[in-house]
Amino acid sequence: MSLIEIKNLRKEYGNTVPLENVSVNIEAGEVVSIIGPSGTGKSTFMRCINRLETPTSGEIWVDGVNVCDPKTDLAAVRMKMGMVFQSFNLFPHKLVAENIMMPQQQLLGVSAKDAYNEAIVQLRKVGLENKARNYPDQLSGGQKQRVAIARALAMHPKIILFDEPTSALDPTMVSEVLSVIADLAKTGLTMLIVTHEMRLARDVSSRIFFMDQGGIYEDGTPDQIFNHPVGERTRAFIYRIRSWEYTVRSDVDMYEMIASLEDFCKRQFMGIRPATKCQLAVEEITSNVLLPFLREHPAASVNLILNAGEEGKEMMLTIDHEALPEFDSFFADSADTVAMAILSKILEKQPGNDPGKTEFRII
Amino acid sequence: MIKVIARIKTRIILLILMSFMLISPCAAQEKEPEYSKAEEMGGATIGLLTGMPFEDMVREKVPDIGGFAYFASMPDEVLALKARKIDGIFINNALIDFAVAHNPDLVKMTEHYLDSNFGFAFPKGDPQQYVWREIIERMKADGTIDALWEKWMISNDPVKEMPKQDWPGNAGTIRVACADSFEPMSYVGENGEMMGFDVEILLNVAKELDLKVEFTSMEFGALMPTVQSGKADMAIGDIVITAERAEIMDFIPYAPAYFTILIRSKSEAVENEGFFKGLVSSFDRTFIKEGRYKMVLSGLGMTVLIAFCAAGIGLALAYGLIFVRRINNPVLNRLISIYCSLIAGIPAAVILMVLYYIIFGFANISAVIVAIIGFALIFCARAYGIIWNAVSSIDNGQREAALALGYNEALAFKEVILPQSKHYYRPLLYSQFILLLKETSIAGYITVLELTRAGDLIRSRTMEAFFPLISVAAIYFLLTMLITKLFASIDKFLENRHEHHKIEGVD
Repeated sequence: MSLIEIKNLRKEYGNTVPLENVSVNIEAGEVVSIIGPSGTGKSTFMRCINRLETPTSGEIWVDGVNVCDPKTDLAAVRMKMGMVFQSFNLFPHKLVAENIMMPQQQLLGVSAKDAYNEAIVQLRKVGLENKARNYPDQLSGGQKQRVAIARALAMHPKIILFDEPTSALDPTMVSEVLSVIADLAKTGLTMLIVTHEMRLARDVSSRIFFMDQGGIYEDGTPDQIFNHPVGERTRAFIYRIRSWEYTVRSDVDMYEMIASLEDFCKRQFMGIRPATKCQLAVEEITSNVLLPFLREHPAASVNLILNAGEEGKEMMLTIDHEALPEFDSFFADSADTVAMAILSKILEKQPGNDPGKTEFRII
Repeated sequence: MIKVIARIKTRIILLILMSFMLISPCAAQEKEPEYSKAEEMGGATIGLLTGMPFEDMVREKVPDIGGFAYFASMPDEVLALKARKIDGIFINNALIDFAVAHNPDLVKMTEHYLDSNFGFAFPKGDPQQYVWREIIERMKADGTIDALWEKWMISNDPVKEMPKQDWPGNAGTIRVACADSFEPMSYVGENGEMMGFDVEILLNVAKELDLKVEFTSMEFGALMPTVQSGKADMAIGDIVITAERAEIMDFIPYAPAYFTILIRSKSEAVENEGFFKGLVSSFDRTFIKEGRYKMVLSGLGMTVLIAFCAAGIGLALAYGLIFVRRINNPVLNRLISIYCSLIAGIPAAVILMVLYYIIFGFANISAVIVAIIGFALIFCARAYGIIWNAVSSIDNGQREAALALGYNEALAFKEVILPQSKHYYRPLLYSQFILLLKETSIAGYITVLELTRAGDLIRSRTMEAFFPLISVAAIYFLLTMLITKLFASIDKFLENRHEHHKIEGVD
């Protein structure tokens, strides 16, 4: 029997049905990332497993116990299943150490001394031993989330559920939490992670659920989901999160365009050097090629698309000029200008088969 | 603290100064009444006691009367008359004669109205009354009652001895509702003992019947409801038999009674005691004479007892309601909200009276217990509202985090949610408690002798308002200040514990 078995799970809210007929098994030791567009029931799915949400119908077996059975001792099941929340939910009236001690003392009957020692062990794991006697409101967001992880670990659960653990964090604090989660994943603990951090999903998990259309739309290894997605919606999702698209007109707001690009680069975890290269390429091609062309054709517009490969490797810049046959001749005419000479230092034109698109690789 | 007391002292002295200029005790030399006939009193306001339904009769005598004012006790009426807030008091001969004897500037009209008798009141058809009637008839015939009338009404001897209840009481106990502010008929004397003409007659009869007497003292207006609701077996205290009263109770007449009007004499104040002497003798009358300070102290004790018991029970009930509310059952929720709006929508005094006369009407429960129950219910509703608001403001994530760790709902609430909301609701509960402490002053409505009522009773003996009122006010003020200080130090202690970052069981 698998550690978690979900059979025909259905959840309704009024007239929406975020989960419909979901069946899946999760084995002990698996690290499952749950990704997908917002509003597709990722968090609801996870919250059904520890019954913070009550499923409308179906069965969820955790470690041999059906948590949907009203006779089940939920508290006992939940003790085997830690949860880390988006908003940390540390108890603000208790010290950091007490936050970790309280459940051990009150639920497991551990003595204060032993609970304290355990708290220190777990805090050391997340690198916060010296914050034991602080109140939660004296910690940064990243530190709070690491304490929350330590609190879950101190109960020695078989499973830990992470519900968007980095979504409420300042970007500078995301990586400290991600590295703690990555370390945990190596220990053989069964983990379920709802996340928007694609790097986390790809690098840490052994299995990925892509959720859409009321269920698990595609279930596979990180390699399958990120590199060879099968489903149409999976492809669209992976593609969209990997590419930046901007429609350039003759009155384009360059500042706004660059700001949007910067934001995209950040989300892709590009380093500073590749991000600067992308910005330079987009600025140069816009001011030296697209704007001169658009000045001649004021009514037209051109789509600029940046596809990011993995961590800044293999970035492709595409000019989508479909339905603008004039563009090819314009581009050919400007091939000898000084501007194009500069451009050729950072962009390498790719042989394309699609006549409506011109593709470059950013060097 | 010392500074504060010193400041209060100066304020009290200022008040004393001012009031003595206004209402200094005075003696009159001539006694020419303001009005000679009732017909002359057009436009005048006449004082009546609550529970004495004589408006029609007065209107008959004074056709164009200005209006009526109602008072709980005779001394209050006398004070109002002297302060020119009313122009006459319509009341029976015993009280009028006594008031005239003690207030040289007051006179009574010569006309008599409603010649009747004073009577002891029994429930309609109660067979006990026949034995009583027989004995009282005999006492009338052998001159015992005349001798007592002489002792209480006419004699100048300031020391009035009361018979002690030294008989065995083999025939049981009789519970007597007794008006407590009608000197010389029935009033509270030294050490809270019931005294007066009526009381002594009653004790004489009880001795013959070998009955022990258990007095419950109260305002006149409460006498008949108390007997009707079965909380007492009979009522005494300056009750004049009227046709209206005889419809609801049976009476045994023991002395002749009539009504007339008490008015001011025209004379001006001529003799002043002098400020300091007046102050000392007023203090003496209020506190020292007959050991009246004991009454103030026991009233204070009663106030504190009721407030603390009610707050303790009310708070426990409120926590209980909070737990019930968290079950979130629609029927129970509805019941709680009905309870809260009932308490919020009815004045506290009415709640107490409903509990005393109706809900616990036929149960033999002491008024103090009823007061504690009543104030506990009131405090519970308010505390519940405050705590529920604070609890609701705690983020639901806290509850979910506790549940996800394996807490059940009740434990999550007790260990995680409630402790966090304490911070918000504690100060509000403190101020509610102070309010409750002051509100207990209405317990007098149901015959509880607390601080305010003690002041009233002293007032009813000394016939002056100033000292009893100011001292009661000062005691309440000091008490609330003391309790506020106590709360502040509790807060400080809790805050310190939070600041020290100590872990229980480890450090």
